Amino acid sequence: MSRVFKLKSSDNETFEVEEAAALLSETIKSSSSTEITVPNVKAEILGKVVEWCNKHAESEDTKDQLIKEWDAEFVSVDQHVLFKLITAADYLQIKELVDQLTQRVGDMIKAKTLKTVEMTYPTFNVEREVQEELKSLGF
Amino acid sequence: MEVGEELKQPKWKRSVPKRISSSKSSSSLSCLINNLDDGCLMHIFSFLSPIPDRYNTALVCHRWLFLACHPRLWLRVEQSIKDPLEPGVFPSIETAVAAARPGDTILISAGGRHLASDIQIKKPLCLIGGGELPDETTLICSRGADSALEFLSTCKLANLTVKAELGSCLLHRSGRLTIDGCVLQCETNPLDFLSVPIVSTASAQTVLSSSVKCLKDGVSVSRTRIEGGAKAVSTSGYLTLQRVRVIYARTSLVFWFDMEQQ
Repeated sequence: MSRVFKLKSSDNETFEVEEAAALLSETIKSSSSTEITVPNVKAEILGKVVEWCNKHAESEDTKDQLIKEWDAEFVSVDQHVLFKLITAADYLQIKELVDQLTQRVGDMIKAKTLKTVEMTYPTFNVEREVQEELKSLGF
Repeated sequence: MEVGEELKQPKWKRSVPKRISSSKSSSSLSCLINNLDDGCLMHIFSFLSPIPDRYNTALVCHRWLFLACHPRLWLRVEQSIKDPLEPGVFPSIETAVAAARPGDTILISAGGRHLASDIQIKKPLCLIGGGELPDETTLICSRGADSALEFLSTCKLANLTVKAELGSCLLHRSGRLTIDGCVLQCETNPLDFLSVPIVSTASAQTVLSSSVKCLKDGVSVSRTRIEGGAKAVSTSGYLTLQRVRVIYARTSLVFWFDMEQQ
């Protein structure tokens, strides 16, 4: 009989997950109890993670074309949601999900010119100083 | 927030709700990716090729510079591989060079002898020794080979010892080679005049139009001990020695010089 795990989000919503799906998470695997609270992750995000786990527990072959298409659609979400998903998947240590999500961000950054990377992720611009440092590193 | 037309994936740009007031938009969007912890960000950067993507991300801010150039993203060459499935760790310099992307840094573990015979490097790479002193990481070039490393691209060597049993240590064909804090050792009394630590066959750079910025071929040596060999440097191209400085220490000579086209 498979156990049922309970995942609690930061806004106190509980998700019930079958054993096969739950064990995709290393954090849950190594946890002693079947009730796990995931801090800093809201229900909306946790729900999506559970959805991913359920889908991947169902299908045996992850190389399957259908699953790949489903995955591709799963990761094409809003930036807001994407980064929160990464944090959640990282906390739960679901390696494949983290890989897929971070690959997506990598693809978003890839081949953009500096200007567009900055405009997309505006932080401090320390151009000159940084270029000097990079030169010293051999770039 | 206006975004330039060079964006290749406008899909996600449009999904930003216009309801967010302009004063809030830049701060809320800028916080998003920086909310991720270092591990996640480095994981994202590992998917990017060093040149040009990681270079561009490194220019965004100090934190990204630190993460994009972090040793965890380097390739490592280690003598004994504990976990064969671990990505980024290679048993030999040749395999690491083959797997590296242009712009990658390869960290060669200290201790033990690494074999390096006629390894051709055709992409820009940085090879760094993992010890505190260059003497702790040794690359040995066996008798049969012409040289340990042959450079056809802009590269950097740091903190390494390269020892050639018969041939030359470094063969420079083209590109800008930087040698910093290394030790180059050749056969002490060579019969063969080709036993020279650094050999450069780079010829004159062809004249390109002024709008194209090109780095001239050359070799830059600093804080490097050179021992043995008939002479320290041999050039058959158009490069000449410039700005030579030597420190005569008790047991060795430490050099600084450049090889450039006059």
